Amino acid sequence: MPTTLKPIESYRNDFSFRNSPEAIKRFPFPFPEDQYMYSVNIEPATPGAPGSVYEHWFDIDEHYRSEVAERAQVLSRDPDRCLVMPHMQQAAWDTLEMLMTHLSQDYPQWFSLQRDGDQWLWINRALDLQQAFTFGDASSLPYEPLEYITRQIQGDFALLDQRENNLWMDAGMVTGPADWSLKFDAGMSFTEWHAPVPMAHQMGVFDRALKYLMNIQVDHPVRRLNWTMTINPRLDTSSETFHEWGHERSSVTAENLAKLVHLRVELQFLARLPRSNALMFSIRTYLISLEELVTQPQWACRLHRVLRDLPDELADYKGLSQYRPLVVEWLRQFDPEMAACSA
Amino acid sequence: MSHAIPSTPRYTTLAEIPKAPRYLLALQSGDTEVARQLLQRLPYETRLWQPEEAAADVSQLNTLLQACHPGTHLCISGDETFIWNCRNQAQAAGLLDAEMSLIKAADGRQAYCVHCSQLQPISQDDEVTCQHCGVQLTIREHFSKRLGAYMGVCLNADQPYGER
Amino acid sequence: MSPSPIQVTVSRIESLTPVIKEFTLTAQDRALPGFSPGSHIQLQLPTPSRTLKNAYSLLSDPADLSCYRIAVRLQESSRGGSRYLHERVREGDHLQITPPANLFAPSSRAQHHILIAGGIGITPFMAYRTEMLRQGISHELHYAYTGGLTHAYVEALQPAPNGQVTTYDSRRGERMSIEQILSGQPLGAQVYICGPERLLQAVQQTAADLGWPEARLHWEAFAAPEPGQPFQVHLARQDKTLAVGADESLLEALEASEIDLPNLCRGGVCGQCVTPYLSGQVEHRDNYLPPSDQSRALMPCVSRGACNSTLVLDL
Repeated sequence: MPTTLKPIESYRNDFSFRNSPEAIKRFPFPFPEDQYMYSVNIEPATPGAPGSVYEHWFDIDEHYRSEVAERAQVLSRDPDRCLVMPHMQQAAWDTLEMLMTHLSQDYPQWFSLQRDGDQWLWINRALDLQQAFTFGDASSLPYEPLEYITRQIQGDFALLDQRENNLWMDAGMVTGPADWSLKFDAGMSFTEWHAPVPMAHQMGVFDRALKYLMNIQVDHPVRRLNWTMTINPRLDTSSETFHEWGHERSSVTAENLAKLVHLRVELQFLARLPRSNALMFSIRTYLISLEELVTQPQWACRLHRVLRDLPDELADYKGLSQYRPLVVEWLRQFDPEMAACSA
Repeated sequence: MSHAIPSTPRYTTLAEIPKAPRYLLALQSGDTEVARQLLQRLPYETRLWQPEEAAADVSQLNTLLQACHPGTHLCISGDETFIWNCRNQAQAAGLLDAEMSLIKAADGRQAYCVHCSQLQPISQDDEVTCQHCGVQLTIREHFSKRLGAYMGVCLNADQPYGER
Repeated sequence: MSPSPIQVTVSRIESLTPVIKEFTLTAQDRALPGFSPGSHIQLQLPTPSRTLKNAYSLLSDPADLSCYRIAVRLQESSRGGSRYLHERVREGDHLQITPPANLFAPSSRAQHHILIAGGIGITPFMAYRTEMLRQGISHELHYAYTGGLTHAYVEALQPAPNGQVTTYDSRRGERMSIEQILSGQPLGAQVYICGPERLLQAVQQTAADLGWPEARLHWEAFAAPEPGQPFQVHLARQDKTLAVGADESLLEALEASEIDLPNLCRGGVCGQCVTPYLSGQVEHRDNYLPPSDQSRALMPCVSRGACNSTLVLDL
């Protein structure tokens, strides 16, 4: 069924964001088992089933206009959420080319790209935009190339330079992160920007992941899912704004949690940028309220067990310790306590 | 302070300075035991940069760096703020981390307030009020070499601005 | 995760010197993937005895994806790959290649790039130079060759304001002074070497003498695996024994028995094909495994067993 783009809903203030029944059905529920622990859960990003979030490299869904509007709001207050170090110029153009190429191929109803040598014409019908520009000439675009294209797409982007046997976060557009800051982490190596993650270093997870990621080849991207929880459908849970949203975690009660508490899933997608040899790390975030989630009984059952058995260290790191007991207690009603959840 | 994590900076001891054909020494203060030992240990012809004021203009170091060639090893000794200012200046000039020894000789350091993006000098305490935006910060061990600063994040989101 | 091969047509073959031919490869069924300077492809060569997979640097302009170009030197002591390309492959022939991978990328942080090529080692630097000239990146190229034999592309390499070219023709007694090249360089300089092993070792030695750390040096180390003694290999999990011939690698012998291991460089540097072994003597020929791992793992693309004992792999 073709996606219909909704009118703009909000990820702040009145939080009018909601998932349609179709969006709930295609939500990337991240738990393949009743227990969760770290693993290098990376897989080749081969095209998924039609209509699923894995069908295309860059998923456009019903929230497209809302997410684009939210990004514009974040940038108007904090323009440095988009950052490109001078040596990442070519990676920025690579990203623009990859996004325009894939969007126009995968969603011809909204996007089109005409190329005549370095003279390009980009049409975005979903936002009613049209831009003729010279590829490689930043002055022919209203914004720097990474900012120009990522203002028209869902999800955050980090561009990783590959050198000295490591990956370096030297560019990005990050307006909706799960409690981290691009401005602080910019310039760090893979090991450094993952430093705050507990337990995984000792397990060797990052060493193995780094080796794997550095060998990603052109046209053979990979993906993985990550998750946390968020109060309200708030996309911008950055470190920058923590002092504005952190207090919401103590407002959770048994009465309001079904509407307030959201499972937040990141579909992380990594692709080699051909000309620059940099790595594109895109983080596409999906939010679902518990009220919406429990319409799928097998998810409700499994989430109950995962949250109940999650190690405290991980719950602390994910920032859900305060309200976890309430949520587990509420979810218990959906767990028939048979041997396994997957009905 | 909380425990070190993989981004927490590590400093070298004098004994760990590798052999090199030439040395350049950036010294915040000659008046420390570390400085005396360094001057003793490095070869006589080592070039020395020692700023006159406490709030050093590290761009002066750049003039010396521009005259250097690969094979030069830079030793930086001072507090953490001085060390990372010099290190970033040297990196911009083309020096690699393998060609620098960072020797901590004093406790001064900086915090970066993640809420207003400003830097401020801090003590060894891990709680401080941001001088710029007033948010009460907890200082994490997460460190940015680029900014030369530890991450300061709102200590208590239920009461971000303290008692005021 | 072996990427699917790409079908190409050999659209043009040009003799550049008596021992070097350039091959232009054009896609048949889909567009060629983009690549960065320093990338290589693996070419599948169906020689009469077996299929060889040899790695070659892409020398063409990374901005032009209508074709890939590679240059191949006829190696007298080769196992047949270069001979096959020189003597059997004709314009119009179809071949299979892997998508490009890069184990020799220019460092984005270097402010001046010193490129040192010996003979056929010029190939990756052809792509480097095209990109660096286009982007105005400061570099200098030093190219040693034998006039009348390995002088490929000498005429094409015109100096530019931000890209000096110095050539050294051994027939004329012109010798490269590595010490002179490396002396007086700015702090932002990094060195790239592609050529014979002795050139690499000479640059490494001089750089070390001048106090340059290894992080300033980059080299293209892969080459076709050297032949050795024949040996036997036993696959413990599959309970299967294979014979590895003198002029084939262990990786090739495994592939011939339909055991596919991931691999990129086929030259002992990328680490993809690392394989655990349980017993037997191993002649380690790779540049990847630290000595501490050599007692339990080997790189089958280059490393070999001994002829008088059976190598037992954990496969």
